[in-house]
Amino acid sequence: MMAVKSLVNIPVLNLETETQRWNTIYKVMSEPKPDIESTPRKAVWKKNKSVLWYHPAPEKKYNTPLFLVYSLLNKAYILDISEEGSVIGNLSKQGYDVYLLDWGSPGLEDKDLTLDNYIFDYLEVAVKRALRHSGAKEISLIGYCIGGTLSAILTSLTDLPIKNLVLAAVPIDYSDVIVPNKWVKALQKGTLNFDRFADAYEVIPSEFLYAIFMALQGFNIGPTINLVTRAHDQKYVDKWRRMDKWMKDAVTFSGAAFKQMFNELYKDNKLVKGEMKIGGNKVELTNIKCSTLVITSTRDELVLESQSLPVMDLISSEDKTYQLVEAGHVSLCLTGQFAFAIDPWLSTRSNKVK
Amino acid sequence: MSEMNPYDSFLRVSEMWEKGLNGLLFQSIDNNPLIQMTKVGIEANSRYIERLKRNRELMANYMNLPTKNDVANAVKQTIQAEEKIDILEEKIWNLQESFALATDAQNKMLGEILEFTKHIHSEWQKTSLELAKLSEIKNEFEAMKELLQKEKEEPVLTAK
Repeated sequence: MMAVKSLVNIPVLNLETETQRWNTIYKVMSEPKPDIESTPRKAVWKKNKSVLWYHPAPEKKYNTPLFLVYSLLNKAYILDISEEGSVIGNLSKQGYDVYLLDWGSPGLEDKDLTLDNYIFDYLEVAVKRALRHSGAKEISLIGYCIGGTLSAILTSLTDLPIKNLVLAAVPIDYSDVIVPNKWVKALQKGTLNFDRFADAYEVIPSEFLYAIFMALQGFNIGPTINLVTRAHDQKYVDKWRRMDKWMKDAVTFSGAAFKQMFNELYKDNKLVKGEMKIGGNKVELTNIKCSTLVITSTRDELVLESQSLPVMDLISSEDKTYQLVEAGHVSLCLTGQFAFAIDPWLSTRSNKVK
Repeated sequence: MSEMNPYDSFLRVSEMWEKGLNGLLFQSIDNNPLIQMTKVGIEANSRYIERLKRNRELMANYMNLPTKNDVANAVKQTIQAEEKIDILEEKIWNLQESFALATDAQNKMLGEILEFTKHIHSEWQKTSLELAKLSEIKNEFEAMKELLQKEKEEPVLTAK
Protein backbone atom coordinates (compact mmCIF):
# COMPACT_ATOMS: atom_id res chain seq x y z
CA MET A 1 0.00 0.00 0.00
CA MET A 2 1.40 3.33 -0.97
CA ALA A 3 0.15 6.62 0.32
CA VAL A 4 1.04 10.17 -0.57
CA LYS A 5 0.68 12.45 2.42
CA SER A 6 0.38 16.12 1.90
CA LEU A 7 1.96 18.70 4.16
CA VAL A 8 -1.17 20.78 4.31
CA ASN A 9 -4.56 19.37 5.19
CA ILE A 10 -5.26 17.80 1.80
CA PRO A 11 -6.93 14.36 1.86
CA VAL A 12 -4.66 11.40 1.47
CA LEU A 13 -4.65 9.56 -1.84
CA ASN A 14 -4.55 5.83 -1.44
CA LEU A 15 -3.01 4.27 -4.53
CA GLU A 16 -4.93 0.98 -4.18
CA THR A 17 -8.29 2.74 -3.80
CA GLU A 18 -7.48 5.08 -6.69
CA THR A 19 -6.51 2.19 -8.99
CA GLN A 20 -9.73 0.43 -8.09
CA ARG A 21 -11.72 3.63 -8.61
CA TRP A 22 -10.41 4.38 -12.09
CA ASN A 23 -10.50 0.74 -13.14
CA THR A 24 -14.17 0.60 -12.19
CA ILE A 25 -14.89 3.84 -14.05
CA TYR A 26 -13.16 2.43 -17.13
CA LYS A 27 -15.23 -0.76 -16.83
CA VAL A 28 -18.49 1.19 -16.41
CA MET A 29 -17.70 3.22 -19.54
CA SER A 30 -16.60 0.30 -21.69
CA GLU A 31 -18.65 -2.68 -20.58
CA PRO A 32 -22.24 -3.34 -21.68
CA LYS A 33 -25.04 -2.36 -19.34
CA PRO A 34 -25.87 -4.90 -16.59
CA ASP A 35 -28.62 -7.49 -16.91
CA ILE A 36 -31.42 -6.95 -14.49
CA GLU A 37 -32.90 -10.07 -12.96
CA SER A 38 -36.36 -9.82 -11.52
CA THR A 39 -37.66 -11.47 -8.37
CA PRO A 40 -39.45 -14.79 -9.12
CA ARG A 41 -42.44 -14.02 -11.28
CA LYS A 42 -44.97 -15.51 -13.64
CA ALA A 43 -46.82 -13.84 -16.52
CA VAL A 44 -50.54 -14.04 -15.76
CA TRP A 45 -51.89 -12.15 -18.76
CA LYS A 46 -50.50 -10.58 -21.88
CA LYS A 47 -52.09 -8.15 -24.27
CA ASN A 48 -50.30 -6.40 -27.09
CA LYS A 49 -47.05 -5.23 -25.43
CA SER A 50 -48.44 -5.22 -21.91
CA VAL A 51 -47.75 -7.99 -19.45
CA LEU A 52 -49.32 -8.63 -16.07
CA TRP A 53 -46.65 -10.14 -13.82
CA TYR A 54 -47.37 -12.08 -10.66
CA HIS A 55 -44.74 -12.08 -7.93
CA PRO A 56 -45.86 -14.55 -5.25
CA ALA A 57 -44.94 -13.91 -1.62
CA PRO A 58 -42.46 -16.48 -0.29
CA GLU A 59 -44.47 -16.50 2.95
CA LYS A 60 -47.95 -15.14 2.37
CA LYS A 61 -49.27 -13.06 5.26
CA TYR A 62 -52.05 -11.10 3.58
CA ASN A 63 -54.99 -12.23 1.50
CA THR A 64 -55.36 -8.82 -0.16
CA PRO A 65 -52.93 -8.74 -3.10
CA LEU A 66 -51.17 -5.60 -4.31
CA PHE A 67 -51.49 -4.32 -7.85
CA LEU A 68 -48.69 -1.98 -8.94
CA VAL A 69 -49.13 0.48 -11.80
CA TYR A 70 -46.05 2.35 -12.96
CA SER A 71 -45.76 5.40 -15.21
CA LEU A 72 -46.47 5.20 -18.92
CA LEU A 73 -43.38 7.30 -19.59
CA ASN A 74 -40.75 4.99 -18.10
CA LYS A 75 -40.07 1.29 -17.84
CA ALA A 76 -41.54 -0.51 -14.86
CA TYR A 77 -38.45 -2.54 -13.98
CA ILE A 78 -37.28 0.30 -11.71
CA LEU A 79 -39.66 -1.31 -9.19
CA ASP A 80 -37.64 -4.52 -9.32
CA ILE A 81 -34.17 -3.26 -10.12
CA SER A 82 -31.94 -5.16 -7.72
CA GLU A 83 -32.25 -7.86 -5.11
CA GLU A 84 -31.81 -5.50 -2.16
CA GLY A 85 -33.44 -2.40 -3.55
CA SER A 86 -36.43 -4.04 -5.17
CA VAL A 87 -39.77 -2.49 -4.21
CA ILE A 88 -41.56 -5.62 -5.44
CA GLY A 89 -39.06 -7.96 -3.77
CA ASN A 90 -39.41 -6.17 -0.44
CA LEU A 91 -43.20 -6.11 -0.66
CA SER A 92 -43.37 -9.83 -1.42
CA LYS A 93 -40.93 -10.52 1.43
CA GLN A 94 -43.31 -8.62 3.70
CA GLY A 95 -45.99 -11.19 2.83
CA TYR A 96 -47.95 -9.60 -0.02
CA ASP A 97 -48.70 -11.25 -3.36
CA VAL A 98 -47.73 -8.59 -5.88
CA TYR A 99 -49.08 -8.01 -9.37
CA LEU A 100 -47.32 -5.58 -11.69
CA LEU A 101 -48.71 -4.22 -14.91
CA ASP A 102 -45.88 -3.57 -17.34
CA TRP A 103 -47.28 -1.30 -20.07
CA GLY A 104 -44.57 -2.13 -22.60
CA SER A 105 -43.33 0.24 -25.25
CA PRO A 106 -45.90 1.09 -27.97
CA GLY A 107 -45.12 0.58 -31.64
CA LEU A 108 -46.57 2.34 -34.68
CA GLU A 109 -49.64 0.10 -34.51
CA ASP A 110 -50.43 1.63 -31.09
CA LYS A 111 -50.38 5.25 -32.24
CA ASP A 112 -54.11 5.62 -31.58
CA LEU A 113 -54.04 4.32 -28.02
CA THR A 114 -55.53 6.95 -25.73
CA LEU A 115 -55.65 7.21 -21.96
CA ASP A 116 -59.19 5.80 -22.26
CA ASN A 117 -57.75 2.62 -23.83
CA TYR A 118 -54.99 2.40 -21.27
CA ILE A 119 -57.48 2.70 -18.41
CA PHE A 120 -60.34 0.51 -19.63
CA ASP A 121 -58.76 -1.94 -22.09
CA TYR A 122 -55.56 -2.54 -20.19
CA LEU A 123 -55.64 -1.44 -16.54
CA GLU A 124 -59.19 -2.43 -15.67
CA VAL A 125 -58.91 -5.79 -17.47
CA ALA A 126 -55.56 -6.45 -15.76
CA VAL A 127 -57.05 -5.73 -12.32
CA LYS A 128 -59.92 -8.11 -13.13
CA ARG A 129 -57.42 -10.78 -14.18
CA ALA A 130 -55.37 -10.27 -11.02
CA LEU A 131 -58.50 -10.59 -8.88
CA ARG A 132 -59.47 -13.79 -10.66
CA HIS A 133 -55.95 -15.21 -10.54
CA SER A 134 -55.56 -14.49 -6.84
CA GLY A 135 -59.04 -15.62 -5.90
CA ALA A 136 -59.16 -12.60 -3.57
CA LYS A 137 -62.33 -10.64 -3.01
CA GLU A 138 -60.54 -7.28 -2.85
CA ILE A 139 -57.29 -5.76 -4.06
CA SER A 140 -54.99 -2.84 -3.18
CA LEU A 141 -54.10 -0.58 -6.11
CA ILE A 142 -50.75 1.21 -5.99
CA GLY A 143 -50.03 3.83 -8.64
CA TYR A 144 -46.74 5.61 -9.16
CA CYS A 145 -46.37 8.91 -11.04
CA ILE A 146 -48.65 8.87 -14.13
CA GLY A 147 -49.58 5.31 -13.05
CA GLY A 148 -51.06 6.96 -9.95
CA THR A 149 -53.12 9.36 -12.07
CA LEU A 150 -54.46 6.42 -14.10
CA SER A 151 -55.14 4.41 -10.91
CA ALA A 152 -57.06 7.31 -9.37
CA ILE A 153 -59.12 7.72 -12.56
CA LEU A 154 -59.87 3.99 -12.70
CA THR A 155 -60.85 3.86 -9.01
CA SER A 156 -63.28 6.71 -9.55
CA LEU A 157 -64.91 5.01 -12.55
CA THR A 158 -64.86 1.27 -11.87
CA ASP A 159 -67.00 -0.96 -9.71
CA LEU A 160 -64.12 -3.40 -9.14
CA PRO A 161 -63.48 -4.15 -5.45
CA ILE A 162 -60.52 -1.83 -4.78
CA LYS A 163 -59.96 -1.91 -1.04
CA ASN A 164 -56.96 0.42 -0.74
CA LEU A 165 -55.52 3.02 -3.07
CA VAL A 166 -51.92 4.22 -2.79
CA LEU A 167 -50.85 7.17 -4.94
CA ALA A 168 -47.15 7.95 -4.95
CA ALA A 169 -45.54 11.01 -6.56
CA VAL A 170 -48.80 11.46 -8.40
CA PRO A 171 -49.51 14.46 -10.66
CA ILE A 172 -53.19 15.39 -10.29
CA ASP A 173 -53.15 19.19 -10.43
CA TYR A 174 -51.32 20.53 -13.48
CA SER A 175 -51.77 24.23 -12.73
CA ASP A 176 -48.13 24.33 -11.65
CA VAL A 177 -45.54 22.05 -13.21
CA ILE A 178 -41.80 21.83 -12.94
CA VAL A 179 -40.99 24.24 -15.80
CA PRO A 180 -40.49 28.02 -15.71
CA ASN A 181 -43.63 30.15 -15.32
CA LYS A 182 -43.69 31.56 -18.84
CA TRP A 183 -43.50 28.04 -20.26
CA VAL A 184 -46.40 26.95 -18.04
CA LYS A 185 -48.44 29.90 -19.32
CA ALA A 186 -47.46 29.16 -22.94
CA LEU A 187 -48.65 25.57 -22.47
CA GLN A 188 -51.88 26.66 -20.80
CA LYS A 189 -52.68 29.31 -23.40
CA GLY A 190 -51.91 26.95 -26.25
CA THR A 191 -48.98 29.01 -27.59
CA LEU A 192 -46.93 25.86 -27.29
CA ASN A 193 -48.89 23.07 -28.82
CA PHE A 194 -47.70 19.56 -29.54
CA ASP A 195 -50.69 18.33 -31.59
CA ARG A 196 -49.05 18.60 -34.99
CA PHE A 197 -45.82 17.19 -33.59
CA ALA A 198 -47.64 14.16 -32.15
CA ASP A 199 -49.58 13.66 -35.40
CA ALA A 200 -46.41 13.86 -37.45
CA TYR A 201 -44.47 11.37 -35.35
CA GLU A 202 -47.55 9.18 -34.64
CA VAL A 203 -45.62 7.47 -31.85
CA ILE A 204 -43.40 9.76 -29.79
CA PRO A 205 -39.86 8.37 -30.09
CA SER A 206 -38.11 7.24 -26.91
CA GLU A 207 -35.23 9.63 -27.68
CA PHE A 208 -37.65 12.56 -27.44
CA LEU A 209 -38.97 11.46 -24.04
CA TYR A 210 -35.41 10.88 -22.85
CA ALA A 211 -34.48 14.37 -24.04
CA ILE A 212 -37.45 15.85 -22.12
CA PHE A 213 -36.35 14.07 -18.92
CA MET A 214 -32.79 15.24 -19.40
CA ALA A 215 -33.92 18.81 -20.14
CA LEU A 216 -36.06 18.85 -16.99
CA GLN A 217 -33.01 17.99 -14.93
CA GLY A 218 -30.88 20.79 -16.38
CA PHE A 219 -27.17 20.42 -15.70
CA ASN A 220 -27.19 16.89 -14.45
CA ILE A 221 -23.57 16.22 -13.58
CA GLY A 222 -24.46 14.89 -10.12
CA PRO A 223 -24.69 11.20 -11.05
CA THR A 224 -21.32 11.23 -12.85
CA ILE A 225 -19.57 13.00 -9.97
CA ASN A 226 -21.24 10.57 -7.54
CA LEU A 227 -19.84 7.68 -9.54
CA VAL A 228 -16.31 9.10 -9.51
CA THR A 229 -16.54 9.82 -5.79
CA ARG A 230 -17.73 6.36 -4.85
CA ALA A 231 -16.29 4.23 -7.66
CA HIS A 232 -14.19 2.18 -5.20
CA ASP A 233 -17.42 0.99 -3.55
CA GLN A 234 -18.51 -1.97 -5.70
CA LYS A 235 -22.00 -2.11 -4.18
CA TYR A 236 -22.64 1.52 -5.02
CA VAL A 237 -21.25 1.13 -8.54
CA ASP A 238 -23.53 -1.82 -9.14
CA LYS A 239 -26.55 0.23 -8.04
CA TRP A 240 -25.38 3.19 -10.13
CA ARG A 241 -25.05 1.06 -13.28
CA ARG A 242 -28.57 -0.31 -12.87
CA MET A 243 -29.93 3.20 -12.38
CA ASP A 244 -27.94 4.43 -15.40
CA LYS A 245 -29.34 1.63 -17.55
CA TRP A 246 -32.89 2.42 -16.50
CA MET A 247 -32.48 6.18 -17.05
CA LYS A 248 -31.26 5.66 -20.62
CA ASP A 249 -33.76 2.90 -21.37
CA ALA A 250 -36.61 5.22 -22.34
CA VAL A 251 -39.94 4.14 -23.79
CA THR A 252 -41.95 5.32 -26.76
CA PHE A 253 -45.35 6.88 -26.16
CA SER A 254 -48.53 6.72 -28.19
CA GLY A 255 -49.17 9.98 -30.07
CA ALA A 256 -52.88 10.03 -29.21
CA ALA A 257 -52.22 9.61 -25.47
CA PHE A 258 -49.49 12.28 -25.67
CA LYS A 259 -51.92 14.75 -27.23
CA GLN A 260 -54.59 13.89 -24.69
CA MET A 261 -52.18 14.38 -21.79
CA PHE A 262 -50.93 17.71 -23.08
CA ASN A 263 -54.33 19.12 -23.96
CA GLU A 264 -56.51 17.78 -21.16
CA LEU A 265 -54.03 17.77 -18.32
CA TYR A 266 -51.20 20.25 -18.95
CA LYS A 267 -53.27 22.76 -20.93
CA ASP A 268 -56.79 22.62 -19.49
CA ASN A 269 -56.08 20.87 -16.15
CA LYS A 270 -59.38 19.02 -16.57
CA LEU A 271 -58.85 16.30 -13.95
CA VAL A 272 -58.89 18.69 -11.01
CA LYS A 273 -61.78 20.68 -12.50
CA GLY A 274 -63.83 17.49 -12.86
CA GLU A 275 -64.19 18.03 -16.61
CA MET A 276 -62.10 15.14 -17.88
CA LYS A 277 -63.95 12.42 -19.76
CA ILE A 278 -62.70 8.87 -20.01
CA GLY A 279 -64.65 6.37 -22.08
CA GLY A 280 -67.48 8.90 -22.29
CA ASN A 281 -67.76 9.12 -18.50
CA LYS A 282 -66.91 12.22 -16.51
CA VAL A 283 -64.06 11.54 -14.10
CA GLU A 284 -65.19 12.60 -10.62
CA LEU A 285 -62.44 11.98 -8.10
CA THR A 286 -65.09 12.43 -5.41
CA ASN A 287 -66.24 8.91 -6.33
CA ILE A 288 -63.12 7.55 -4.60
CA LYS A 289 -64.34 6.27 -1.27
CA CYS A 290 -61.79 3.55 -0.43
CA SER A 291 -58.90 3.96 2.03
CA THR A 292 -56.31 6.16 0.34
CA LEU A 293 -52.65 6.91 1.00
CA VAL A 294 -50.92 9.73 -0.86
CA ILE A 295 -47.12 9.80 -0.80
CA THR A 296 -44.85 12.57 -2.00
CA SER A 297 -41.10 12.84 -1.66
CA THR A 298 -39.19 15.85 -0.39
CA ARG A 299 -36.62 16.01 -3.20
CA ASP A 300 -38.94 15.21 -6.08
CA GLU A 301 -37.70 17.14 -9.11
CA LEU A 302 -40.31 15.91 -11.59
CA VAL A 303 -43.64 16.04 -9.76
CA LEU A 304 -44.20 18.91 -7.34
CA GLU A 305 -45.84 18.37 -3.96
CA SER A 306 -48.46 20.93 -5.00
CA GLN A 307 -49.44 18.63 -7.88
CA SER A 308 -50.26 15.71 -5.52
CA LEU A 309 -51.76 17.50 -2.52
CA PRO A 310 -55.11 18.60 -4.06
CA VAL A 311 -56.16 14.95 -4.42
CA MET A 312 -56.56 14.83 -0.63
CA ASP A 313 -59.43 17.32 -0.82
CA LEU A 314 -60.94 15.93 -4.00
CA ILE A 315 -61.55 12.35 -2.85
CA SER A 316 -64.38 11.50 -0.47
CA SER A 317 -62.59 8.70 1.39
CA GLU A 318 -63.04 8.90 5.14
CA ASP A 319 -59.80 7.02 5.72
CA LYS A 320 -57.16 9.10 3.92
CA THR A 321 -53.52 9.60 4.85
CA TYR A 322 -50.85 11.94 3.51
CA GLN A 323 -47.21 10.99 3.89
CA LEU A 324 -44.06 12.93 3.01
CA VAL A 325 -41.00 10.75 2.50
CA GLU A 326 -37.38 11.87 2.52
CA ALA A 327 -36.40 10.82 -1.03
CA GLY A 328 -36.36 11.84 -4.69
CA HIS A 329 -38.80 10.98 -7.47
CA VAL A 330 -36.73 8.03 -8.68
CA SER A 331 -34.68 7.21 -5.57
CA LEU A 332 -37.89 6.36 -3.68
CA CYS A 333 -38.19 3.33 -5.97
CA LEU A 334 -34.51 2.77 -6.65
CA THR A 335 -33.66 2.17 -3.01
CA GLY A 336 -36.69 -0.02 -2.40
CA GLN A 337 -37.63 2.49 0.33
CA PHE A 338 -41.12 2.75 -1.13
CA ALA A 339 -41.97 -0.77 0.09
CA PHE A 340 -41.11 0.15 3.70
CA ALA A 341 -42.93 3.49 3.43
CA ILE A 342 -46.25 1.92 2.49
CA ASP A 343 -46.10 -1.32 4.49
CA PRO A 344 -47.21 0.07 7.89
CA TRP A 345 -50.26 1.70 6.28
CA LEU A 346 -51.09 -1.28 4.06
CA SER A 347 -50.56 -3.99 6.67
CA THR A 348 -53.34 -2.61 8.87
CA ARG A 349 -55.70 -2.38 5.91
CA SER A 350 -55.07 -5.76 4.28
CA ASN A 351 -56.89 -8.95 5.21
CA LYS A 352 -54.53 -11.23 7.10
CA VAL A 353 -54.14 -14.93 6.30
CA LYS A 354 -55.84 -16.91 9.07
CA MET B 1 -9.53 8.52 12.13
CA SER B 2 -11.25 7.05 9.12
CA GLU B 3 -9.72 7.63 5.70
CA MET B 4 -11.16 10.68 3.97
CA ASN B 5 -12.40 10.41 0.43
CA PRO B 6 -10.37 12.96 -1.55
CA TYR B 7 -13.29 13.43 -3.90
CA ASP B 8 -15.83 14.41 -1.23
CA SER B 9 -14.98 18.09 -1.41
CA PHE B 10 -15.04 17.86 -5.20
CA LEU B 11 -18.55 16.37 -4.92
CA ARG B 12 -19.69 19.12 -2.61
CA VAL B 13 -18.36 21.86 -4.87
CA SER B 14 -19.94 20.25 -7.92
CA GLU B 15 -23.27 19.98 -6.12
CA MET B 16 -23.13 23.69 -5.34
CA TRP B 17 -22.19 24.48 -8.93
CA GLU B 18 -24.95 22.26 -10.28
CA LYS B 19 -27.55 23.93 -8.11
CA GLY B 20 -26.30 27.40 -9.05
CA LEU B 21 -26.12 26.65 -12.75
CA ASN B 22 -29.55 25.05 -12.76
CA GLY B 23 -30.99 28.11 -11.05
CA LEU B 24 -29.34 30.30 -13.66
CA LEU B 25 -30.57 28.08 -16.49
CA PHE B 26 -34.10 28.08 -15.06
CA GLN B 27 -34.12 31.89 -15.01
CA SER B 28 -32.48 32.33 -18.40
CA ILE B 29 -34.88 30.08 -20.29
CA ASP B 30 -37.91 31.76 -18.74
CA ASN B 31 -38.37 34.16 -21.65
CA ASN B 32 -40.91 34.50 -24.42
CA PRO B 33 -38.51 34.69 -27.40
CA LEU B 34 -37.20 31.22 -26.52
CA ILE B 35 -40.77 29.92 -26.27
CA GLN B 36 -41.50 31.40 -29.70
CA MET B 37 -38.33 29.83 -31.08
CA THR B 38 -39.32 26.45 -29.63
CA LYS B 39 -42.75 26.86 -31.19
CA VAL B 40 -41.24 27.58 -34.60
CA GLY B 41 -38.82 24.68 -34.14
CA ILE B 42 -41.62 22.25 -33.28
CA GLU B 43 -43.66 23.43 -36.29
CA ALA B 44 -40.68 23.15 -38.66
CA ASN B 45 -39.75 19.71 -37.35
CA SER B 46 -43.35 18.51 -37.63
CA ARG B 47 -43.60 19.79 -41.22
CA TYR B 48 -40.31 18.12 -42.09
CA ILE B 49 -41.43 14.79 -40.62
CA GLU B 50 -44.79 15.06 -42.43
CA ARG B 51 -43.04 15.65 -45.76
CA LEU B 52 -40.60 12.84 -45.09
CA LYS B 53 -43.46 10.47 -44.35
CA ARG B 54 -45.36 11.51 -47.46
CA ASN B 55 -42.32 11.00 -49.67
CA ARG B 56 -41.50 7.70 -48.02
CA GLU B 57 -45.01 6.39 -48.68
CA LEU B 58 -44.88 7.68 -52.24
CA MET B 59 -41.56 6.04 -52.99
CA ALA B 60 -42.58 2.77 -51.37
CA ASN B 61 -45.79 2.87 -53.37
CA TYR B 62 -43.92 3.30 -56.67
CA MET B 63 -41.57 0.48 -55.79
CA ASN B 64 -44.41 -1.65 -54.48
CA LEU B 65 -42.67 -2.08 -51.13
CA PRO B 66 -44.50 -2.52 -47.85
CA THR B 67 -43.86 0.26 -45.35
CA LYS B 68 -43.91 0.29 -41.56
CA ASN B 69 -47.52 1.47 -41.84
CA ASP B 70 -48.49 -1.72 -43.66
CA VAL B 71 -46.78 -3.80 -41.01
CA ALA B 72 -48.55 -1.78 -38.30
CA ASN B 73 -51.90 -2.41 -40.00
CA ALA B 74 -51.17 -6.15 -40.13
CA VAL B 75 -50.20 -6.11 -36.44
CA LYS B 76 -53.48 -4.33 -35.63
CA GLN B 77 -55.33 -7.40 -36.91
CA THR B 78 -53.34 -9.59 -34.53
CA ILE B 79 -54.14 -7.26 -31.64
CA GLN B 80 -57.82 -7.45 -32.57
CA ALA B 81 -57.61 -11.26 -32.63
CA GLU B 82 -55.94 -11.14 -29.22
CA GLU B 83 -58.74 -8.95 -27.89
CA LYS B 84 -61.34 -11.36 -29.26
CA ILE B 85 -59.58 -14.31 -27.59
CA ASP B 86 -59.58 -12.36 -24.33
CA ILE B 87 -63.32 -11.74 -24.65
CA LEU B 88 -63.89 -15.43 -25.45
CA GLU B 89 -61.79 -16.43 -22.46
CA GLU B 90 -63.88 -14.19 -20.22
CA LYS B 91 -67.07 -15.71 -21.64
CA ILE B 92 -65.71 -19.20 -21.00
CA TRP B 93 -64.98 -18.15 -17.43
CA ASN B 94 -68.53 -16.90 -17.04
CA LEU B 95 -69.82 -20.18 -18.48
CA GLN B 96 -67.54 -22.12 -16.16
CA GLU B 97 -68.86 -20.13 -13.25
CA SER B 98 -72.49 -20.68 -14.26
CA PHE B 99 -71.75 -24.40 -14.77
CA ALA B 100 -70.14 -24.53 -11.37
CA LEU B 101 -73.20 -22.82 -9.89
CA ALA B 102 -75.56 -25.19 -11.77
CA THR B 103 -73.53 -28.24 -10.67
CA ASP B 104 -73.65 -26.98 -7.10
CA ALA B 105 -77.42 -26.58 -7.32
CA GLN B 106 -77.75 -30.03 -8.92
CA ASN B 107 -75.57 -31.60 -6.25
CA LYS B 108 -77.67 -29.94 -3.59
CA MET B 109 -80.86 -31.23 -5.20
CA LEU B 110 -79.41 -34.73 -5.62
CA GLY B 111 -78.39 -34.66 -1.99
CA GLU B 112 -81.94 -33.74 -1.00
CA ILE B 113 -83.35 -36.54 -3.20
CA LEU B 114 -80.91 -38.99 -1.63
CA GLU B 115 -81.92 -37.89 1.83
CA PHE B 116 -85.58 -38.21 0.88
CA THR B 117 -85.01 -41.70 -0.60
CA LYS B 118 -83.19 -42.75 2.56
CA HIS B 119 -86.06 -41.46 4.62
CA ILE B 120 -88.58 -43.32 2.44
CA HIS B 121 -86.42 -46.42 2.67
CA SER B 122 -86.33 -46.33 6.45
CA GLU B 123 -90.08 -45.63 6.55
CA TRP B 124 -90.58 -48.52 4.15
CA GLN B 125 -88.53 -50.80 6.39
CA LYS B 126 -90.53 -49.73 9.42
CA THR B 127 -93.79 -50.36 7.53
CA SER B 128 -92.50 -53.74 6.33
CA LEU B 129 -91.71 -54.73 9.90
CA GLU B 130 -95.10 -53.59 11.08
CA LEU B 131 -96.68 -55.43 8.16
CA ALA B 132 -94.74 -58.57 9.08
CA LYS B 133 -95.98 -58.22 12.66
CA LEU B 134 -99.53 -57.68 11.41
CA SER B 135 -99.19 -60.79 9.18
CA GLU B 136 -98.05 -62.75 12.21
CA ILE B 137 -101.01 -61.48 14.18
CA LYS B 138 -103.26 -62.36 11.25
CA ASN B 139 -101.74 -65.85 11.10
CA GLU B 140 -102.27 -66.25 14.81
CA PHE B 141 -105.85 -65.10 14.39
CA GLU B 142 -106.30 -67.61 11.56
CA ALA B 143 -104.87 -70.35 13.72
CA MET B 144 -107.12 -69.34 16.61
CA LYS B 145 -110.06 -69.22 14.24
CA GLU B 146 -109.27 -72.71 13.01
CA LEU B 147 -108.94 -73.98 16.57
CA LEU B 148 -112.23 -72.39 17.53
CA GLN B 149 -113.92 -73.96 14.54
CA LYS B 150 -112.46 -77.32 15.45
CA GLU B 151 -113.76 -76.92 18.96
CA LYS B 152 -117.20 -76.03 17.60
CA GLU B 153 -117.27 -79.16 15.43
CA GLU B 154 -116.12 -81.64 18.13
CA PRO B 155 -117.75 -80.42 21.44
CA VAL B 156 -120.29 -83.35 21.75
CA LEU B 157 -117.66 -85.97 21.47
CA THR B 158 -115.55 -84.40 24.09
CA ALA B 159 -118.54 -83.83 26.45
CA LYS B 160 -119.66 -87.39 26.24
